[in-house]
Amino acid sequence: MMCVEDEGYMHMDSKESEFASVTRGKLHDNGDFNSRSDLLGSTGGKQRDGTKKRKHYEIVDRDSINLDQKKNKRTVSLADDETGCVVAKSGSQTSFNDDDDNVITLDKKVFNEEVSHFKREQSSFLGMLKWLTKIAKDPLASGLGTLPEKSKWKSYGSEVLWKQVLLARETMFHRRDDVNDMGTVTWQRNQKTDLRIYDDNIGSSYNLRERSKSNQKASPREQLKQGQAFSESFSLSGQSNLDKSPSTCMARMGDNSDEGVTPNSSTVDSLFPDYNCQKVPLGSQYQAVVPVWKGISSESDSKWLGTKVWPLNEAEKRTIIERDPIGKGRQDSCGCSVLGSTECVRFHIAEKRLKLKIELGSAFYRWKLHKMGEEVRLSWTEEERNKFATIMKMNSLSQDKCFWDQIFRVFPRKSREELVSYYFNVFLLQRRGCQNRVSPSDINSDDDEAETNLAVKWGGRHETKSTSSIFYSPTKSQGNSKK
Amino acid sequence: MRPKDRISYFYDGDVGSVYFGPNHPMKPHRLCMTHHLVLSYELHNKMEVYRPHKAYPVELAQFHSPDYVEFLHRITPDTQHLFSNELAKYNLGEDCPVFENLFEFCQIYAGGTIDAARRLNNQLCDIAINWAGGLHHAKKCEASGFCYINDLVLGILELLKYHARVLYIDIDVHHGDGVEEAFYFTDRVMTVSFHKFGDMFFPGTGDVKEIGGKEGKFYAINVPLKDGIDDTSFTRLFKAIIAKVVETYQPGAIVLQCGADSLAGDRLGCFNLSIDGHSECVRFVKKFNLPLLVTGGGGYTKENVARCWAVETGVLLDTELPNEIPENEYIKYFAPDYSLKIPRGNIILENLNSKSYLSAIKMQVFENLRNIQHAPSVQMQEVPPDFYIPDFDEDEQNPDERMDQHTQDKQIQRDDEYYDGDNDNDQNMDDA
Repeated sequence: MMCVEDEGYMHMDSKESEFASVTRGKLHDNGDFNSRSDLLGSTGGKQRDGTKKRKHYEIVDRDSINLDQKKNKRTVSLADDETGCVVAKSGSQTSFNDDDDNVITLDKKVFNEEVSHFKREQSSFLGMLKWLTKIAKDPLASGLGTLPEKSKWKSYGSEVLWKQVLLARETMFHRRDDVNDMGTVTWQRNQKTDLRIYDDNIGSSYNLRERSKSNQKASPREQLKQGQAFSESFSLSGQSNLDKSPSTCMARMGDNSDEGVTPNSSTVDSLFPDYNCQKVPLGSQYQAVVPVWKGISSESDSKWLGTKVWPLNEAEKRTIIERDPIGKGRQDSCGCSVLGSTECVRFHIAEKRLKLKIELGSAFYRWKLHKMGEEVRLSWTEEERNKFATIMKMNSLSQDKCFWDQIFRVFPRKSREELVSYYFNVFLLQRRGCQNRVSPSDINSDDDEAETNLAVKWGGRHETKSTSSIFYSPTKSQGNSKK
Repeated sequence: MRPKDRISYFYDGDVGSVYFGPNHPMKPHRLCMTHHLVLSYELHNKMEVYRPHKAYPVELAQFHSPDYVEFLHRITPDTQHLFSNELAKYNLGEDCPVFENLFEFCQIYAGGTIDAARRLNNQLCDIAINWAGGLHHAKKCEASGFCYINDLVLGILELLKYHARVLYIDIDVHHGDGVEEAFYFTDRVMTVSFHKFGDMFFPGTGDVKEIGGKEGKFYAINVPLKDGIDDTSFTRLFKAIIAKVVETYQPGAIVLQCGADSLAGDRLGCFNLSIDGHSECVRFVKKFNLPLLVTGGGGYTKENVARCWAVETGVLLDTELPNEIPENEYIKYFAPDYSLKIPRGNIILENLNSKSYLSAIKMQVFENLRNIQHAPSVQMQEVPPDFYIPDFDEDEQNPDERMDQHTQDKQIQRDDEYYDGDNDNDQNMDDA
């Protein structure tokens, strides 16, 4: 097979390629592997056996085949040829049940159409095979043509032989996994990793146009990357990788099995241990422009270096104040009558604030410290404070936290900044103060926004979230349940 | 003894009022709390505090695509419903909501990191701190994981004007994918990230096998970890790897992202580090005495974030802070103990990182590092002057003409032909 130096990503536009648009995510399903593999196993022989003719699916009536498909697309293998190519059509021409009982049905009539279509294509496969054989025998032979840069692959259709080869390879590797007898274990491991890629909303990287039509959450780039991740794990990348010591790879594979390392799509390269697994896309849309180092030639702009706020400039340093030593902690004893009481705390905070104000001078205002803490509270009337508290109390019981709508309505004359500031500097602090006194051992500082089951909540709202959202944290939901 | 480090610390008073929206775990208010702690421990008297300039769109476009920057500049919560296509394109609206003053917030935190890099370049300080920065997920053309503008990439690009090689270290619980991607194919930046990997944890990248590509192959290091890693395991691994990296790569400057979501008790994280363990890493990096840019990053339990970054400010200032937090406006947040120690949670996290697993990861990383030991494309050593000069002109020889064996033999170079001392080594030759 050809070795490609460039490590970019391959985008396959299913509509361009009449030859083989493999829709990756379609056949894979967590629970459905066994049914599918049975189906395939029973009919298929070895993928790589070039001489066998075989059908991969039994074409039967509507209700009999069980295959899960998610996106109204399917991969139908009608391979009668030697390479075991998969033929699929983009823009499904067969009707599929999208329901949950994992039924894929092939309309007989349409299937026959495709068979005849496929037979027409058979001759072109032969041509491709011949070309491939030539290359294998003598890669440097003239007249074989060159492979363009990987990033340009997508712009070629299957009229070019090398594109056909690439597509076939893609398909074959995809199919090979299906009937890998070595293991359901191996496959399930890979399966687990590839879940991310085959995730419902992410789907195939080859259905970009389909995807952007529907209102999916995952960005096309995300899908491309993930689809690419899968294809990359199979791709041959550069000679240098073949130089890698096999022992390292074996060690890696060994580790994987010993530790039960949570596999990822790169574990798939346990089939191809020498290949560098790359999920990072290459291109001007992704990388920073890093100039070649030529010594210190460019001047770092010395104009914008930040404005000094502290220490104060000489003119300001007029006040002499007794400063606390740097790094001094809180003292346990103070002169208050009741240690730790509300009054004691309030007094000391006020004392500190005053000291800071005097010491910092202009910095106190530049750091907006005058808009924090107790000062904020004092700038609100008691009536306003009560109103705020009431709204928060009413909303604390409701699931859908949108107290802000109400807050904005009730306080039309206060700016958003003021309201947010009050929330953090007065309301939350007071609440914490109460919590501290009432239940000091059970404090959840951010519970104010009812975020305890964040993962569950976000999981509900965004079914599609997997690694695409930083909110989703599987361990958290487990953790919370332990509580 | 080394003269005391000069520290520049960046803070903008406006950043505390930034609000991502209800139910969003990212709370810039934590920066306010951090600053308060720093002030209450009087740490500001050991360093210089600067207000960063607000980064201009053109500066942001040094990395990001201009249309993305422009969109960020113009979009507001009120108009976003008109731009659903663009929102999807730039991955805004979900994890990365559009909120009031979004662009200004980006300008502040990015400006901080850029100014920090410039101060380091101009040698106005030895260490520069910008806790507001460290938003490492942002990509060139899209937002991601609460990050809109990747200030780290911008800071590194600035440092690259003065340094041949820059080392990026990331101890956020999430993989530093944005920075890694930006520099994946260059060897002028080496990115090292320690993060949770697996179980579909965001962002999903960061396997140990991701090592860079093309010229940047072996210049990306990923240390994937499992839940519950503790101080001992983490710091041991961190020190071993970073020591090796610095020794091998010899960077001119270091950028350290100190995401605090790797602390125990973080609402989105799943590690079990204490502030001591986390700050130990900072202490270790500081010891290399290289120009150091320190930023914040993740961290979603704001009290712990404030504790952590205050302690680490102290570490960078060689000041150990006593645990008793002095009175300040936000003291109530630090109940019940009002201490710098993270309060013990209800859940005890099990450390799923076995010794053998960590050892395997370390071996893998070292194995990859070996590949750049002697073959840097960016020169690390001077080319030795006494390189081999053939005494026959190879170019003049006709390659098609066969040489007889005798002539060929004459062209064989003895190992000690070029000798150091006065005596040549010919006495021992049999056929002299």
